[in-house]
Amino acid sequence: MNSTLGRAPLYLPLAVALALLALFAVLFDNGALLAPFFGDASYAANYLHELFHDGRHLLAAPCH
Amino acid sequence: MTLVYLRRGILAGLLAGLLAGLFGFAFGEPVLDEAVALEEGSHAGGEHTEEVFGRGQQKAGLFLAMGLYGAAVGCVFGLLSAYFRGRVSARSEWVRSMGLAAAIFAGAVLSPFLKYPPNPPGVGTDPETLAARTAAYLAMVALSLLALFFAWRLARQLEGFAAYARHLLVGAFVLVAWALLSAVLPDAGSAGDAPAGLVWSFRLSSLGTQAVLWVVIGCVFGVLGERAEAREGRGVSNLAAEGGSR
Repeated sequence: MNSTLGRAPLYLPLAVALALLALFAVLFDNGALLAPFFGDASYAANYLHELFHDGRHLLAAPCH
Repeated sequence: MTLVYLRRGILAGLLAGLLAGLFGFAFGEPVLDEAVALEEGSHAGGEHTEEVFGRGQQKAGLFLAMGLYGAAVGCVFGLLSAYFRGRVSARSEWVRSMGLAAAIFAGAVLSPFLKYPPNPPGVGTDPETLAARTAAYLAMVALSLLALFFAWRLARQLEGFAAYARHLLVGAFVLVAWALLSAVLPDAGSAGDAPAGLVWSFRLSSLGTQAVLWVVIGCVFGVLGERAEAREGRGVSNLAAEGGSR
C-alpha cells in the first residue's frame, strides 16, 4: 500500500489534470486555451470550438 | 495496478471514442447538416461570419473530438476501476467493468439528458445564458454521479437486508435524488420554434452516440481485464488478495 502511495503522486494528478484539460478543450473551450498563442484571434476565430463543434453537440454540451 | 488500469482505460476509451465517432458520423451528421443549413438560412442577409473550418473539416473534427473525449473519460474510467477494485462485490473484471460503465452512463449521460436534453446547432442559442446553462448542466452531471455513488454506499450499508428490500430502498433513493435535483436545478431552455422532428432526431443520435461510447468502454475494458486475469491465472481470488472489502 505504501509503495503504491509513494508512486501515485507522479502520474495520478497528472493523468487527472490531462483528462480534465482534454474534456474542457473538447466540450467547453471558447478561445481561452489558445489565447496565449493567438491572442485575441483565439477568441474571434474560436478554433477549438469550431473544430470540435459536431462532437460538442453530439456529446450533449449545452448549445452555444 | 492503478497504472495498468489507467492504460487499459485509455485504450478502451480511445477505441470507444472512434466507434462512437463512426456512429455519430452515420446517424448524427445528417441531422447536424440539416440544422446548420437551417441556421445559415435564418442568418441570410444578416452579418455573415467567416467560417474557420468548413463542414467537411468539422466532420473530421468529430472523430478528433470523440477520440480525445474517449481517451479522457477512459483515463477517468481506469482510475475509478482501480478505486472500486476490491471495494465492490462484483465477481469478475467483466461484471465490474460493465457495472461501472452502466453507472457512469446513467449518471453522466441519461440523467442530464432527461433534465437538459441537448440541442442541435442554432437551437436554444443565447450567448447571454451560456454560462448559466453550462453551470446547470455540469451541476446535473456531477450531482447525479454523486447520487449514484451514495446509492452504492447505501446498498453496502444494507447488506444484511433481503435483496428485494435492498433493491427497493436503493431504487427509491435514486428516484428521490433525481426528482430533487430535477426540481431544484433551473429549467431547461426552450427549443423555440425549431422543427420538432429535427430536434428529436438530433437528441436520439446524441444519446445513441454516447450509449455506443459507454457500452464499448465497458466491453473493451472488461475483456482486457478478463484476458489479463486468465493470463496471470489468478482467477477470482484477487478480491481476497487485495485486502477484500473495506
